[in-house]
Amino acid sequence: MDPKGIYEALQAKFGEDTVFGFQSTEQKGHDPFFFVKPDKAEQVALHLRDDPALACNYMECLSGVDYPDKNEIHVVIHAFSYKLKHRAVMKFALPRDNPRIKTFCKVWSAANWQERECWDLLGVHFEGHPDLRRIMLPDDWVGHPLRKDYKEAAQYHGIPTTRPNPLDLIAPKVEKPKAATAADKPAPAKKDGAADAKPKPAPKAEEPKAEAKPQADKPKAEEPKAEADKPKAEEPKAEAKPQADKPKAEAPKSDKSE
Amino acid sequence: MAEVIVTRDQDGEEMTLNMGPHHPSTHGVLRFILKTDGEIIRAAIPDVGYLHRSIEKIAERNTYEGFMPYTDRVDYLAAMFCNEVWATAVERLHGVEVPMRAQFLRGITGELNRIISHLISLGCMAMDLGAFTPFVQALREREFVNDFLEELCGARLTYNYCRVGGVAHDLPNDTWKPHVLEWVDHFLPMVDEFDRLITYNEIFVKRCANIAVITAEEAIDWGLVGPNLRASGVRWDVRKDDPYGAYPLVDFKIPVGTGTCGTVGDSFDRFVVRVEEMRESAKIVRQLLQKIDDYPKGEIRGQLPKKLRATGEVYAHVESARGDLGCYVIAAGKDEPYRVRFRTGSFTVMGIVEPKSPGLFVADLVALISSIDVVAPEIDR
Repeated sequence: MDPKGIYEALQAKFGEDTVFGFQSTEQKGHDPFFFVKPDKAEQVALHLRDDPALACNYMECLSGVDYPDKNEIHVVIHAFSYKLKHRAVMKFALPRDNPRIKTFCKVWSAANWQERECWDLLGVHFEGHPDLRRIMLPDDWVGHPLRKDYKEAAQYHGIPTTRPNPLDLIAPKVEKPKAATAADKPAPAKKDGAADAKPKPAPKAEEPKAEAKPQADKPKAEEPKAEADKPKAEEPKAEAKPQADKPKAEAPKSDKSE
Repeated sequence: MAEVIVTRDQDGEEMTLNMGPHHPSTHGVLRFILKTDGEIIRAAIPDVGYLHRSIEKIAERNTYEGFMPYTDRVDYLAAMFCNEVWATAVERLHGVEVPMRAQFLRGITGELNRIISHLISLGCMAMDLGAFTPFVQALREREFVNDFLEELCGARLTYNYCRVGGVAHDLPNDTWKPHVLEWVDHFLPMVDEFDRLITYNEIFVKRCANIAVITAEEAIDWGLVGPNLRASGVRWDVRKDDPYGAYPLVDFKIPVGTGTCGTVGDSFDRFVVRVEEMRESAKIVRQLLQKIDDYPKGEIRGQLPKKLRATGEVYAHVESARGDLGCYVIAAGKDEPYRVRFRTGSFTVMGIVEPKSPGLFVADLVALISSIDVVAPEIDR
């Protein structure tokens, strides 16, 4: 049976109030779907499984989709029939602030874990579920991450959930040779030039701020070095130059920005 | 879940025992909380989620093309299928035609990937049940295929080979094809050797036959897919029943569980079905390789629209090494998908462990877990 036929068969059985909103496909290859009223969910699902003309005995997929702009959460069920080789896509629109629907575990056991996942990641409450616990995330996790407005907590039990972008840590090292060669010869002139150029790249002046914490130590530690550098520089020739130059080029910047 | 190590009821009867998360026989970071009466299990409660990375949320932040490398991480033992299902879903969403040569390449790499995934699964199962040699032998064969795939796409495990509209590379040189054909001829006798070594080994048969029998009705009800479903006697394979790609052009059989040494749907059947599937996959590889040059070289990418910005929804599925791998994509006219869901075989099959475990010995639980061939990142995603 094609999706339209399944829809019409269900509509004939349950009425237009319960089964509605068939959306056919504009483009070839897209899946059509229809809506079912949430309070009749279990009856419709049972009929879908047990009616010999529908016989959708395999629940392929249960997903939740968050629509903050419609203020709805959709529970989508893909049910498939091994015997008749057709698929029904049912959607249940639930209110976003209190999404509740009856469990499908009595219809398809496969719903058990998928409903737990849906509860965990989207916060849909499946009434009558035998064991509705979080499955992917720890029991004490706050929030449901697959909701569109989910904000990650800064840390979980003292473990930070983000880390500094490693590219940001590398970036100054990559830029350094250019700045170093420019600052190498006309070091005093560059200071003036930097002061002139300062207002133009205003965002640049902010960047060091973000990086200031990891780098803050470097200038402090290396500035005295740079002054007393000339005798030391002979030992690590290749390394000393860029290292010594960096504080020269950066230290004034950070001073100004602060 | 409470941090249980070992506790004992006051009457001394029921014991709560922690198995995992780093247990050698749990195939990745998996944990079970066992309630046992001596050696007999009363309940085994799986505790998953240790490898959860919220790949579905990652998808919402990436472009359709940009998400491809992440799909590798859904199932690292059979990454080609995750690539393929994602590509298939996006292609259907945007109405992209895939050239036949690319379909052939997907078929060849997919079947090679199925073989090496099954080799790991079978080798690990034998090892979990106490036989170490088959594991080493399986890994030896796997190395060949890893080398082939590395030559083709540069990676041994996470291939990132499929592209929306085709595949990334054509055959690398003129020797690749004869090498693979040669290996197929070498591999089929090796499977016979594997059979002699472990499959019909009496000790192994006694460990697996009649253990954790899953009937056909239960398998369908719990949403089991792939070899686990077929071992229960349900002849269902996406490659045959909802054909895609190059599979309509090849001739192959679908092995199902027959209860060779015990009951239909026992752990032994799940093992044998995978052994048979390796043979069939090798034959598919041979047929596809023989026919691939009917299609012009270099035609491996289809025409893409300038921007991938469809509106609509698609549920695509392919037959992965772990069965029917589904990918549900909702597009809302943006560069990124609105919602992506991966429906994986390992996740649904884990649900059946709890109802199946009461009455098993602890050692038989190991047979059950390894025979259903779960891969932890595929459960947790």
